[in-house]
Amino acid sequence: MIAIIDYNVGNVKSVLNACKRLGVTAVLTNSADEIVAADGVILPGVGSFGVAMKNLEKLGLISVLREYKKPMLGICLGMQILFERGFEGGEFEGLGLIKGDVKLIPTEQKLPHMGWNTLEKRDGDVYFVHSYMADYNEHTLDYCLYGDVKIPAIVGRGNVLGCQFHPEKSGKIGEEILKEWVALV
Amino acid sequence: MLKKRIIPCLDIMDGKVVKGVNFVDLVDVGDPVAIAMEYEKQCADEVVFLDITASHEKRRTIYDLIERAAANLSIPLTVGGGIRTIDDFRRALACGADKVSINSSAVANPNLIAEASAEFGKQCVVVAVDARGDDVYIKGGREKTGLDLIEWVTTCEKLGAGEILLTSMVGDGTQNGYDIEMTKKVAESVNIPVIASGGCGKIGDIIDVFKQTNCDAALVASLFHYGMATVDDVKIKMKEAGISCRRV
Repeated sequence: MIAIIDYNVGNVKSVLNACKRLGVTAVLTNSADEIVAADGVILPGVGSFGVAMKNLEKLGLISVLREYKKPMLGICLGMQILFERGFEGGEFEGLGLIKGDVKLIPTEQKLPHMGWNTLEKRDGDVYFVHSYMADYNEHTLDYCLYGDVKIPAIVGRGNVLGCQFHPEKSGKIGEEILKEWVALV
Repeated sequence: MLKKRIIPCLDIMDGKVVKGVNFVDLVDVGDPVAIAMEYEKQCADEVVFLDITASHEKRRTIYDLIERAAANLSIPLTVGGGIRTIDDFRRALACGADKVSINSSAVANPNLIAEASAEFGKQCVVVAVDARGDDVYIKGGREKTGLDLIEWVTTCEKLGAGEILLTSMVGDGTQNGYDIEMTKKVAESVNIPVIASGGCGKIGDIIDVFKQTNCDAALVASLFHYGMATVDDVKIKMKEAGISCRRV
């Protein structure tokens, strides 16, 4: 059983749909008990960093997630809040599960960075929609190129994995990536 | 490197796909969800559902169709037609749409762009603009707004639109090719993605619009609906022409 955290940030349904397509049992929940009891947790999210953290705080889920030991997957905004700080419309504290900050993509090109871009290591195209990005550091497992900016696309540390792109919207390759994570659960 | 997108557009009326020639003569070509799934298999990068009757018959978008499509697709889905309020946005997104496109309602109430952008994020706010020359039209091209095209698209960007879906009323339904001049002008005026639409009749038209303008995506209808080409056929030609695109 996978718990998909429902914290009023949009796009949670598409993650639930993707789990269904893979034949994985998943529930939408914001109950700490259900999250703790699940075999793994997905933190989805489209929206802004500060709002996402505030919603998690209101639901009393921040410490639950910080202390979570089973596999955790953050998607898009859900990946960004895994980091220490976010600078979208202010400065906000993140979950701090992965070292680094989330800042506006330093580019002259169009923002949002929207559409299909290539995971350079995996050599496959996945769907991105975002204007902010995590620091590129030792926790960056794969990246894509936007102009000459290296955007961290898959990040990880211990039980925590994050995708800046939307695996649930990335066709076959996205399904493969989700399947690989589900296999860890 | 970011890929140029090919987006099949399904004009929908009464739950069925139609394609209007100059928005008038409508010919039924089938079930939207089945067709969208077929396009995904062919390597479509996104799909657009446009409820073309919603605007003037004041019908609401067909939400169960969105739900069924979203459950079955693993590529992004944009929904437009009859979206007037923040609640309409919320409902479409809750049903599983990834983006919502607004047209007449954005002209009537530009603040809807700002509100939706603040509430749901700019990535899901697509402003569809129908234009002829420098003039913006609404209600499926039947009503001239008096707005100047470039002023309007830059206003949309400032208000928080995440993307512009630009339809040339001159080209739409004619299959004479995209309106290169208009697309070029708009794509150079804004710093958000622009989807070219209206007039695609052959693969070469898609190559032309990507080669001659800075647009990010091409919306395609008849070419695919009538089986004159598959999305894959287009991608093969794009590759040959040196246009970066996604292949499965």
